[in-house]
Amino acid sequence: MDFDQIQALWAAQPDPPEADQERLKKVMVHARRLNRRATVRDYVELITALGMAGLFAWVASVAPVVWPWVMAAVITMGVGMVFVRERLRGVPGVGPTDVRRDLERAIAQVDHQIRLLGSVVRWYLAPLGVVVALSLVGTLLGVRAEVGPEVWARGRGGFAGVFAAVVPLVGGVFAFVWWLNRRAVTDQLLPHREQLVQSLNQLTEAAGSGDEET
Amino acid sequence: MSDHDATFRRWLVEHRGILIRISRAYAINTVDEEDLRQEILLALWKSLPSFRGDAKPSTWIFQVAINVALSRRRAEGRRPAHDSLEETAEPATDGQGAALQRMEWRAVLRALRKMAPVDRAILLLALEGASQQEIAGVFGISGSHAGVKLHRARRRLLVQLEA
Repeated sequence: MDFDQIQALWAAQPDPPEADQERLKKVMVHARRLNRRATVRDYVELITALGMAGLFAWVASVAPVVWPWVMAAVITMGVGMVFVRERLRGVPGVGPTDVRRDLERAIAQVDHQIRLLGSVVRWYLAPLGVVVALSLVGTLLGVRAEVGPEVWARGRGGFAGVFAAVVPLVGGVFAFVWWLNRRAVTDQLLPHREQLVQSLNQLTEAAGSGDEET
Repeated sequence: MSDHDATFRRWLVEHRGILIRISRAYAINTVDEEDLRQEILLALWKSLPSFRGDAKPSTWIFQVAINVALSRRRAEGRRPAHDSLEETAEPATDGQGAALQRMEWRAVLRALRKMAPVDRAILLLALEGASQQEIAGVFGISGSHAGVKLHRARRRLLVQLEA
């Protein structure tokens, strides 16, 4: 079989049946739902950060010791803003340019995701860890101010113990989040990047580097 | 119905064949084919507002579809449990030569699926009747480079078919 025969066979394929209207409708509904979900997710993340920051600010306004809560509010806002900014930066452009540039764009997007997930400790877990620590410190200092020095001296071991129990719990949750992100990078993003780079290399390899004469 | 919806519907009616053939060539089985087609449709839907009419709709659709097919993560270890071509919709042929055509069709599709993703994309475009210059435009490479790539891809396809 030569290429002309293959092309003839290809062209001989009958046109597929008329597009199923129900299927088209489903695709359009699905596309709209995806867009809406992405927007809602961004808003939810921002609103959650704002809500948490607002809560810390409110606690600061009523707590006997203000500074830990103010710092927690500021850091929470910062994390929320970084989250949304990184998400927006990672939004893929729409519309094809050409396959080479589309592949380069896809690699850049995967690199961005790898950087984001790979540095989750620095920009997400560590600041949130500081927020948790500040909340604990603020609470402890508040309790000390409320109960007075005598009660505090008698019961501080117990108070500290209760809060110390929180540390491994939070640490466990943070470790799990870190592991999930790590696994996403090693099991999904890096192999995907490798595939994209291979395709790009195949497309851009020098014209003379092939295995046949032209 | 908005213009966006109307254009999308019209394109799918007029050019659905491109989506079918590309998803068939890049899928590893019927379920994967359906998933890929769905992904391409979504990408096409999202890309439609940026279509300015500089290119032919068929070229645009081809480019979106190829972009999705090349950019999606391929499951390296996933292989069909059986010859998935048995389940693949084939050209409906009647009369004499139908069986032969079916066999040839299966051989071509099987060979295409064994090609490297970029080679497959170049061949698909050539099989759809695109010129060397059009292929160069779609892939963002020079005309001569496209010619070399196409020549090699064709050779590899023929070798696959003879294997």
